[in-house]
Amino acid sequence: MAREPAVWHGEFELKLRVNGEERVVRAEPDTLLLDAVRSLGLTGARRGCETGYCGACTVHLDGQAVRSCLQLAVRVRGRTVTTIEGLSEPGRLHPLQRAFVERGAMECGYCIPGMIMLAAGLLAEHARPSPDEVRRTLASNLCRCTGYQKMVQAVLDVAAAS
Amino acid sequence: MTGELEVIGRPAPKLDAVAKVTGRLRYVADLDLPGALVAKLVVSTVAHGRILSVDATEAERLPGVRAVITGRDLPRTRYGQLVKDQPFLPTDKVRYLGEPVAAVAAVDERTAERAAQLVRVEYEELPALSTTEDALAEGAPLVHEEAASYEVVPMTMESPLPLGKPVHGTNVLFDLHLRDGDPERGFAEAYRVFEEVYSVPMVSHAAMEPHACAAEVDAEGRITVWTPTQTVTRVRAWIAEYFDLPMERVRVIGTKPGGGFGAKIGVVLEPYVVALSLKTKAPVRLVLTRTETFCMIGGWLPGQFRFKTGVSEDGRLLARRLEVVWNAGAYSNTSPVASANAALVALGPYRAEHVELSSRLVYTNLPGARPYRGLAATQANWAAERHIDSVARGLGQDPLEFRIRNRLRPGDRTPWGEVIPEARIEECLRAAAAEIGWSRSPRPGSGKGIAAMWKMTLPGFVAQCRVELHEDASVDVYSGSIDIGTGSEVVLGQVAAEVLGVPLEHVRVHMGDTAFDLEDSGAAASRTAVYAGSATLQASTRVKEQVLELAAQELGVPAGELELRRGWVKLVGRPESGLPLATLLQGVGTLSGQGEFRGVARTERVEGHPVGWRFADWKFGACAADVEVDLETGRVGVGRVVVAHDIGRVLNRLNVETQAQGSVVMGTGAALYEQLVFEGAQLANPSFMEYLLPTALEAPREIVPVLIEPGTGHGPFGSLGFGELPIIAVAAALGNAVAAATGVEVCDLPITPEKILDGLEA
Repeated sequence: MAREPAVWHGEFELKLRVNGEERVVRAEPDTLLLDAVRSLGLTGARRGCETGYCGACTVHLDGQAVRSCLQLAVRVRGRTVTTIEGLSEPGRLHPLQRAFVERGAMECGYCIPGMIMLAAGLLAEHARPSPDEVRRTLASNLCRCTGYQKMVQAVLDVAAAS
Repeated sequence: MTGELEVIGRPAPKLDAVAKVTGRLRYVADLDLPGALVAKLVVSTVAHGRILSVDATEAERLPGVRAVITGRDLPRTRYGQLVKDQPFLPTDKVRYLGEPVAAVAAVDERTAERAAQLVRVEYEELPALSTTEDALAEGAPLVHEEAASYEVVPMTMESPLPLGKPVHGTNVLFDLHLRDGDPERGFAEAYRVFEEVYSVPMVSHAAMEPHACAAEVDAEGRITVWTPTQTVTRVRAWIAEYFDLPMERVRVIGTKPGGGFGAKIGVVLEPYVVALSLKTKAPVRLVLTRTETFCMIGGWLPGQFRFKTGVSEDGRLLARRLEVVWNAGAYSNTSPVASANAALVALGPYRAEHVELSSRLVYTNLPGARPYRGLAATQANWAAERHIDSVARGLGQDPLEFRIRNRLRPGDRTPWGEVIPEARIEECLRAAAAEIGWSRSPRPGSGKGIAAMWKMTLPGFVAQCRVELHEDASVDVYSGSIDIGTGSEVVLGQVAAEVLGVPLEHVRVHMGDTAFDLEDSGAAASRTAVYAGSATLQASTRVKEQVLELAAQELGVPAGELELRRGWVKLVGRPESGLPLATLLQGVGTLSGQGEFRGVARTERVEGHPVGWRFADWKFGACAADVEVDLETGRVGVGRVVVAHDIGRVLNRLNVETQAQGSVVMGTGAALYEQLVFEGAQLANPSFMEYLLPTALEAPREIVPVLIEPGTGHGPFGSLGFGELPIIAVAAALGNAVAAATGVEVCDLPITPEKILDGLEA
């Protein structure tokens, strides 16, 4: 006979401030922040591994880049979340987004929102990072297509223009 | 038209660049499919075993479960791109650990997972074969007992690649032999003979997007499949054939793949969602976890290469013998072609009078190997170019000059009876060497390495495109291929813009929907820019002819004196005169043209040669690298990597640079870090925690693409395919650089610190 699992009862509503708006998501005790934001149609945060290694799910939590697959939605109740969709005003590009486009720093694009959120977190703390600091930061996330070089250059372009 | 190109070659961003940086591009997992059920696969828990029973009763009873399918719900036929050896849900036996045996569809993820756990499968376990040695041993159990009855899909191309012969009653899927000249005599006459063995393990594609697929069946029984496949139109044909449906009942919409690298060629997950959708009458989506992706998708075709090379006193290659044994895993996928093609590649772009080649493709109980960027040329090149380097150094000769002395020249014949029309190997080698500073002696602890590469593309593949020019002078380009991230959309747009003389911003490109009714062999084998690009060029040219005809009537001058430029019809040589295109087209309606490109064998065959294979194109290049090795820890730091290629014509510089840089980092991963580790037949590292990919810190400090143009490629504006090329020689160049830095000859990938330290101690 199948054992009934112990934990998965109890859907509840959860308030989060997402991209500047109060949002309510339906969650369970083990719902990940990643799934919470994706349930709002914000699919720029992506599942690549679900174990915190690839970083394709990177978002900002109170201004800091975090892996949304390693955050339980219930634990971030009421906090401020920014996803790639909220990084810039609608119809406009953040300087990092523009630099990634101009440099051609993308191939399949799956990892790009995570990389840009990571870089935005770095630039918020250090407006003028060194090339090595940029590499170290981007090394948190994985990209299989681009070879990273153009991403590093794109971040340095933005830093140089600041 | 060349010489005054306006749009071709420009570093135009990808057409979906903004969608990518804003996160708005939707992969199959991101599609809004109202009411979609969640699918989950039930996979084998033994690597090799007879299926005694599959009991889904309990799973079916779980609230929220809409359907469970087993092998009995699927067609009896087997699938295969060349050898039809794969059941999507086997009923008789499982052949690798993680092979799907049933699939469930439920209202949510949690229920689907729970249901999958409730499907009870009983096995009679059989001995599992994980290595080719096991599989070739006397009395080894057979992975496929009925192999002799499997249908082999005929290769319909004009010069099919002989795959060798199956050896029935063994695990050898194909055994290929080739002989040219008199190798015994060559070895007997040789001044020195070198014998070495190299190997490559299975390496994962590790695309960032885990494998996924969705399907929906409408009330009339029409099926729509959303899939990140690299081969959209072929998947439609395969699905229709497999489910025995008329083609017009199946529509395949190619969603942008989050990386493919060959792993998304052919049918992968489509039958599961189609069967579940047919059974539930609801949309169904299946998204694999990373671990499931690792276990089910496997990786490239691993192999072992035994070389014997005889050289003359003055350093000419006289005789060569190569024996390759490939571990195909449980299912053949494209391995029959990959193994044959790569065995030829492994001979290297060198002259040799006497050659003997054997290549054996062997079934085991590992996941079936799949095509991977370069179709096994990357694996072959590791062995080929490490060996050539070792021979050169063994003779006390400079590895660069040794390669150049022995290189194939235009007009030379290959051991399989093909005359090479053009071979810019020396240019590539010299360019790479110059850029890395080959003549300068390296710093202590560091070393430089070089490797040459060649790659051939089989003939017979096809691409069709349609171009429409509207009254507002905007353009729509349609292609049956798919942009897998390489930027082929912008390239097709650039081709159309160039021919029709319109700004790129006025061109929209649509790819990867079978509703376009355009055939395409798929985004593979460095083909899209060349094949779909050529079809777009043809289609655009047909539209241009109609425009010029119209303009000729309107302006009362011969069409031959008119040209299209920057949205205007101009008189040739009189740039100040002209008529805006949009004015000319007013009231005319949409003009359209279709183009088709088919790869044909362009080389000549040596008269009377017993083999006489011919390829559609030949591509050459070289890689040079410098490394620094920490002699205490064995850690390899990669400095600069140069990849020099005869590319014919750069169609879009941004695309080409990113392809080159991405390839080099992927190649660095395979060279230094990556290996799917099997303990027996059990994959021991199915996560990014244990399967190490290079990050921005492990990537080379600088990657320099050297692009040799113009050339005489068969693609638009003289271009050649490129996407696979720059990975091919990376591992060998790094291995040769490590050997130069440390004196340690690592023969088995990856080049780990342990192997270097062992070598230093020995």
